[in-house]
Amino acid sequence: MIGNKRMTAICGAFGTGKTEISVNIALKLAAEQKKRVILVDLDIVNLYFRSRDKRDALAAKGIKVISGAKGFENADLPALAPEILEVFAQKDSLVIFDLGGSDYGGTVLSRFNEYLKNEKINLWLVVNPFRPFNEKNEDTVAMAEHISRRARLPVSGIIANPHLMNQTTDALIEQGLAQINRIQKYPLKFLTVMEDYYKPEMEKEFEIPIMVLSKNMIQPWE
Amino acid sequence: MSEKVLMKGNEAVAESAIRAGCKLYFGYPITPQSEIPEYMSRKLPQIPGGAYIQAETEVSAINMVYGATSAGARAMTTSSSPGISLMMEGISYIACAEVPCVIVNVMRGGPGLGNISPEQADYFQVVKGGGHGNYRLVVLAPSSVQEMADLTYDAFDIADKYRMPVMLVAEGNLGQMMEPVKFKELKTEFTDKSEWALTGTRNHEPKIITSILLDPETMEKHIHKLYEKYALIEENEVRFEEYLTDDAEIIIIAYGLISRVARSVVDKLRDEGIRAGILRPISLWPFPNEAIKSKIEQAEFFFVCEMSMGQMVEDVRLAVNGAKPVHFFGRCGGVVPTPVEMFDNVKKYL
Repeated sequence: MIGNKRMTAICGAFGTGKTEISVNIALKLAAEQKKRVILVDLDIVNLYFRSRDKRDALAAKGIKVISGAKGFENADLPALAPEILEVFAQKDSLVIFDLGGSDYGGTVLSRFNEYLKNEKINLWLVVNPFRPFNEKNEDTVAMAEHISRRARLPVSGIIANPHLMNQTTDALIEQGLAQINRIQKYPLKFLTVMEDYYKPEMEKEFEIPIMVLSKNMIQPWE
Repeated sequence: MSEKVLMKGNEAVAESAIRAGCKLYFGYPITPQSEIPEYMSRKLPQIPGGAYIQAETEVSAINMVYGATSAGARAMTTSSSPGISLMMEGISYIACAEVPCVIVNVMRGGPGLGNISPEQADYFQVVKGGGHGNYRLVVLAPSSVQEMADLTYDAFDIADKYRMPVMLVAEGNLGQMMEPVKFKELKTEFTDKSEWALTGTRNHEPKIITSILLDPETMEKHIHKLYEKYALIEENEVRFEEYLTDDAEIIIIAYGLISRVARSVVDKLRDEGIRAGILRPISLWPFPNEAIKSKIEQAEFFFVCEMSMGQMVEDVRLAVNGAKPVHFFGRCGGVVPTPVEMFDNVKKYL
C-alpha cells in the first residue's frame, strides 16, 4: 500500500477525510505486524475530530499516537510535542503523518524538513469532490500546489475519497472518481470506500486499487 | 455536480446565508466557528456588491452589522460564546432600533475563556436577554447540518419580517461536523425596506434609526410597541419537533445536537417496552410552551437533558408549572453526554 516508503503524510483540504484515512492506513499497517506503527497527529489547525481522540483505542491495536504538546491537547495553540522527533530516530518504524487542512497543514510538516530530506516519504492528497473548495479540479490542484510549497515536498499521489457519508451510492462514487481521474498532474493511488458500501466487484469496475475503510471516528449522536 | 455536498455545519451556515441574499459579513475569528468567516472571506468578494470585513473586535463587528442593516442590506455576523458576550451591547441597540440582522453563535465551553469544546450554556444569555433592557431575540437551534442551512435561510426572512435580530445557536460540534446538505435557491426577492431604511435623503425627508429615546413616556411607548411585536412572534413563530410522543409517558426535552443522542435513548427505552418520546424545541424563543403543556396529562415525568448545568430546564418548569415532575441531566464544560449515561439517568426515575 505505501510502497517502499517508511513515511506517509496525508494532506488535503479541510474535511476531505484525512484523519479517517490516516487512522485506517495505520490500522492496516499494524495488522501486518511487520513493523512498529506510529501515527503522528500534526493537526494544529482544528481541534475537533482529530486522531488523538482515538489514542487509547489505537494503542490497543499496537499503534502509538503522538500529538500536541502534553497537557495542551485541547489548547488552540500551534504547539507540537517534542517527542515527534523520535520517529526520525526509530528507523525501524512506519510513520503516518495526519496533517491539518489546507496549506496550513503543509507548513507544520515543513518544520521537520531537515529530517524529512533524508527519508523516503509519500505525500498523498485526499480529494472528495463533494466538499466545498474540492468541487473543481483546478481548485484542488491549486491547493495541492500550495500544500506542496508549504510542506517543501512534492505531492506524490492522490487518494480519491468521493462520498456523502451515509448518503453515498455507487453512482456517486463513480461520478466522483470520474472527476478526480481527470486530474492529470498527480497519479491516482487508490480509491477509498467505506466498508458499508464496498462490493468486491468494484476493483474490476473502477480499475483501481480500493482501500476499504472502517469507520473509527464515531460520535455519540451517530 | 451532485445536488448535495458534504459540509461542516459552519460552512453550511455561510453558504446558506449567501443563498439568502446576505452579501455583507463582518466578524472576528474564534474557534469553533472560524470556518464561517473563512468561507465568507473566500466567497463574498466574488459576488457583485459583496464584502467581507474582518473587524478588529466583535464589538466592531456587531456595530458594522448595525450600520449595514440600517441601510437596508442583508448582513450577518457570527461568533462563539465569549465573542457573543462582547456583542451584547450592540445586539441590545439593534433590537431597540428595530433593525433586522442575523447573528450565529457556535457555542463553546464557558464561563470565562473556558475552552473550545461544545456546550449549551449560552441559553440564558441569548434567550433571556444578555444585553440590557426590555427586548427579545428570536433564537433558533438546529440539530443537523441540513438544519443549520435551512434555519439560517429562514432567519433572514424572520428578521426582515419583524425587523429584529435573529440568533442561531449551535453547539461547537454541530458547527464542526460534516453531513450531506442541500441548499435552497438563491433568493432574489426581498421585503421592501424603503419605509425605514437609510438610503439617502434625495427626494424624501430624512429617516431616523436610533436606540436613544430620552423621554420616558416615549421610551415606554416604544417598548410596548416592541412587545406587541413579540406577542405576534409567540403566536406565529414557535417551532418544535416531536419524536414518538403520541403515547409517551416519559417526555424527554432536548435541543440541538444532543436531541439526537436522546433519540437513540428513546429507541433503546422503547426496546424495553418503556414509552418514551422527545419534544425538541427548535425555536428557543419563542419557546414551545403550549406543546409542552399539551403533554402534561399523558406524562409520568419530563426529562430535560442539556449540555449545561440546567438552563432551558427553567423554561420547561415554567411550562409544566408543577403539574408533573421535571428531572434534569446535564454535562458541561465541553463534555458531550453519551447515550449510555443519558439512558441510565432516565432509568433512575422509573
